[in-house]
Amino acid sequence: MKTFNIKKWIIPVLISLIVISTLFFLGTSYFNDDLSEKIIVLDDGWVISLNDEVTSYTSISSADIGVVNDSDVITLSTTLTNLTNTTDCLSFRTILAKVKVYVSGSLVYTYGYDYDEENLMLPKHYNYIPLTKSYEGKEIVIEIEATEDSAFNGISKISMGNLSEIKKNLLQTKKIPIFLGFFLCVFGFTLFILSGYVLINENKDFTIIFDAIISLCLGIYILCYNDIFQLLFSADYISTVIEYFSLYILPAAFVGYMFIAKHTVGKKVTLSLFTIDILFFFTTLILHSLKILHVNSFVTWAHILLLIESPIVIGFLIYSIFKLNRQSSYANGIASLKVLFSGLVALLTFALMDLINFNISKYSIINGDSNTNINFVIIGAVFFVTSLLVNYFYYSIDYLNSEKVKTSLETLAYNDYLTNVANRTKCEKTLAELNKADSDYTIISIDVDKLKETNDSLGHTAGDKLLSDFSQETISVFSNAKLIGRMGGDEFIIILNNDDFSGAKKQIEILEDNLKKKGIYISYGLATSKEALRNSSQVYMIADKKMYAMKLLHHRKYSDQRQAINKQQEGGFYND
Amino acid sequence: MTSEALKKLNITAASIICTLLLLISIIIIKICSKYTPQSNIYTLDESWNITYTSKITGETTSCEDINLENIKDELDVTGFAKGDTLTFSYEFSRYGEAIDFPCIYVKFDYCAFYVNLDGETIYEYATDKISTGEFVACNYIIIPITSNYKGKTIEFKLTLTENTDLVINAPLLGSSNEITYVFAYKNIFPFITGCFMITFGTVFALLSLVMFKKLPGMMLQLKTSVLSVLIGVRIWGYYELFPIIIKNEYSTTINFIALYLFVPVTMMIIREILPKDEEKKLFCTPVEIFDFVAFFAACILHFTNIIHFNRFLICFYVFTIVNIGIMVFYFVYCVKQKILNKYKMMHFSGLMIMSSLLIIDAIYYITMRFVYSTSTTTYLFPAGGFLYSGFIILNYLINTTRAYASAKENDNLVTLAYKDGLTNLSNKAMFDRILEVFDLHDDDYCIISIDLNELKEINDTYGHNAGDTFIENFASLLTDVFPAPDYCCRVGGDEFSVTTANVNETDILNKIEKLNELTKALNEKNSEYKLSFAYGYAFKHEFDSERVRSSSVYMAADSRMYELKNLQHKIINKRRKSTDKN
Repeated sequence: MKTFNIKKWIIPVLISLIVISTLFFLGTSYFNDDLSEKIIVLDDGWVISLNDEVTSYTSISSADIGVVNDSDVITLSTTLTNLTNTTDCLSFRTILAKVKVYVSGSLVYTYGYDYDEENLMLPKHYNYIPLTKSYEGKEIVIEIEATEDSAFNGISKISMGNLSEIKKNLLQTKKIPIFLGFFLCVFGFTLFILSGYVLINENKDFTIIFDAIISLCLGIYILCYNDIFQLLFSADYISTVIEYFSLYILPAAFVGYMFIAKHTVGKKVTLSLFTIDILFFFTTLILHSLKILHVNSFVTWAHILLLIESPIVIGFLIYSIFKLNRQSSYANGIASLKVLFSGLVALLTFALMDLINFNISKYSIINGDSNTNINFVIIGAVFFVTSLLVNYFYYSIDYLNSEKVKTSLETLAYNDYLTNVANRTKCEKTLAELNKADSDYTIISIDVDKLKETNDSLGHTAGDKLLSDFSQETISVFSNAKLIGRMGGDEFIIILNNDDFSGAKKQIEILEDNLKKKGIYISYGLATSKEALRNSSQVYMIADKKMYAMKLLHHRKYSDQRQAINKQQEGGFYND
Repeated sequence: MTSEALKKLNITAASIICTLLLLISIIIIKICSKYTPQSNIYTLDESWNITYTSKITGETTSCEDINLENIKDELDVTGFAKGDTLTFSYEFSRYGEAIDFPCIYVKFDYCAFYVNLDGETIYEYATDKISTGEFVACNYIIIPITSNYKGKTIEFKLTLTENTDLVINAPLLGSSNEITYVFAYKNIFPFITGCFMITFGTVFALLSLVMFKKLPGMMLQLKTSVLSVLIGVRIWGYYELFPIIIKNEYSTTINFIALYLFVPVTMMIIREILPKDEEKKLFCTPVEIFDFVAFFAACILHFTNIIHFNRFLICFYVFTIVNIGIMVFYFVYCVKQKILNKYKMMHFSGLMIMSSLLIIDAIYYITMRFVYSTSTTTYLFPAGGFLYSGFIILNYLINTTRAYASAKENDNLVTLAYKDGLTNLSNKAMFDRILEVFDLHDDDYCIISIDLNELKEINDTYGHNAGDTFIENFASLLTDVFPAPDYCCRVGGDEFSVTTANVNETDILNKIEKLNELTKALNEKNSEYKLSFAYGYAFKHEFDSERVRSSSVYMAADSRMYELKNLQHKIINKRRKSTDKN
């Protein structure tokens, strides 16, 4: 008969339920406001000119203006129509560019001229140009002037509608970056703080710090790339700067991890690469803070570094996994390392794909980076963080399993099989430990009477049963004992955690009474730690002596009884 | 002893440093998140004209030029009923400066309303729900107005959809851009914490389920991660952050579900923490069932539009206090009985603290009814949630690093005594102990004796190293086929034995067949020498006597193995002869 196993069913169902609902929540627009009719994307009908030369394009999404360099000016003009009561905003994104907007020839909006005067880098920015209904039918002119070489390629889409709705619409499509980005940031941050704890207390495993840095930088990069800080907090400049720096530090973090981690290959190569990456990062940091070169001008270099290093690191990682595979799979933590390495490989591969994709779209395909998304890195980040967590899970499993093995081995090593109390080794260990500790205790020595007789007359089975009966009763009466143990064939010891002599005496008398009902007779002796200046072996000796005195008394009683019985029998015999 | 003391000191130092770092980073975030709006934001709390029509009595009262703070006194009411209508009107006479994207930022709890500007309707909120009786969410709403609003009159026509005290927050006038930034900066900490806890909980729950079989105590992980998601959702709900990424209308419902589920899930976790044999004594199952029935009853009533979630709030707080009482009882019981270890105790205390924060929530809710403004935000709940999940991660990281230490300790102390150095299987001493243990119980068992063929020849021809790898390879196959709780032992140079409580003969034959296949597969990889084995097995139940010694069972298995070995020898010899002839 096979019973219906509910666990087997419920787990895959729960897993798919969580996955589906998460994807449903993050990936679909079911929970989003339907704003498609309220927000108008102004794509067609523009006059687009580059550096005062009018181009033939009229549609923004298909305008191929190429890579825009320093001081190039793109001018867009059109006539505003379809303004409604709630329309109050025209919105578009610019990268590294200054903006001026004219309506009917008069300047209504400027952005970025103050940055440029101070020789600061112009951030990625969402321009919100206030509109009123009176602009209906008027001509709007947008001037976008790039401030860096190869600043951007293509024009981002221009939408018109209500400002709060436009922002909401943007944020609602960025649920995945929001959740993943903030999660990675906080997770990395927590790991970072906890790594201090782990380093001080346990072993010197520096990989945790690198895990933390990778996670943190990845989180920041995802958030910044998706303009979350711009949209939520209007922190344009900081967001743009840390986006670049988090990108620049990532190669160093990966290579550093490879160098620090155990079981990886190519230590010499990774060390030299790590030095190069760290130098690169600090050079950019210094040059940017001294306003000599803006942080964005190193992007090509960072990309080249990533393009060269990623394949090397991926190769090393795959080789390490291969090597781990050949090792015995029973070694501690190997499985988890394999998982973590695979996660890193996935992340790097996706990052590499993204890098190639980004550069292709920026330099070749029409309308490039102003509209590209980094979807691959997000997938890679998901892989990475999952592998990191799986890694910790595996370690926990290892830890819990080894704890389990330890307890089971300890039971084997320290337990008396027959009576299920501590064996002699454990008793001696505990007695020795008592001398180290600074507390009072009571030792009771017990001897089961007539065990030998029982064994001889009724067989070993009866003797075994007698002993296990005795130990069961003892365990139930002395539930407060520090230790109940079997020192030898019929000798037992109980150690109590206090020196309450009368209390112990009462307890042992209860035990004696209970055992009498089952036909088991015992001799015992008690001694407290006070009686021998807390020297446990002497205390035990005293208890033992008292026990022997009692045993002797019992023996006499038994022999008296036996004599009496014998006499009776003899009498009966004679009477018969 | 000194190293122990040093370790303790280290732990204290590290904990203090961690806490300090955490506090410093929170303070840095707080300082960085100061935002000064670039245009003025005005609070419109004075000079309102209000008309109130009660649905029950049909009476209409109106008052002019009042402060919103005194609305109940001025109207002389204690609360409002479902269906009552209120009209708020305000003339923009004082403020009229030009603002980009001018808007009114307003929140009326559980009210559907129209907004008119100089008689023209410019906004509607949930007005279609008045007739259907559906639940109306409470959210801040941005109502855009024209830039030449000066001198115009704005009018809010409210219809109440619930019996409520109507806590009115003064509307704000300003640039919608700036107002949303101010809001975002104010709530930066709960936003990030909530985000983290929701994602963390989801990922953790998934991983717990995937690894369900491997890790004991996975149920606890699963329930903890559910709680983590709930705390995250609750934090977002509490600070009204959901409208940032989803439709307004869902936010309040989600918030209530998270709140009402908090206590039942906490009780579920506590049940998991308590020892299994205490569960019945402590009535865990009835308490749990009661909690969930109450929750689902509330859900059914809400979604059928009979009684909406908000009406259960008082019930919920009473219910929470009762449950916290039960928790305290459990806690005291556990402390007295000393049945929980240090980690479980910490976990339990953490849960108690989290739940107690709900009582603060309750006090806050009650005082809200008398206090006018909602500007007093507490950081207690997100801070508690953050610390709780921090504790979970900490637990994991420490486990991670301890895995090394503990494994080493076992290797050194106990494993040496009972493990075979070469194969890492149990050794003869362990095997003897296992047999001893078998003799103490009446349970049935099976002993399999396995002997490797031709080990001697391999040692002689290819050297001892080859022989050792040969044995190692076989040992790893053996543990693959007979994983724990079965014991695989190496009892002699080429002798192995497996003890198992599985007494199904076909199962055992299948496993041996599998071992055979694996061995063959291994043989195909290295061509130099061929691995093969002989086996024999015996069950306890084959013997009539109740008190048969395990050693006799082992002897039986052993002799069967030898029979097979002899047979194999004959076959091999025959083959050899025939090949020789050929």
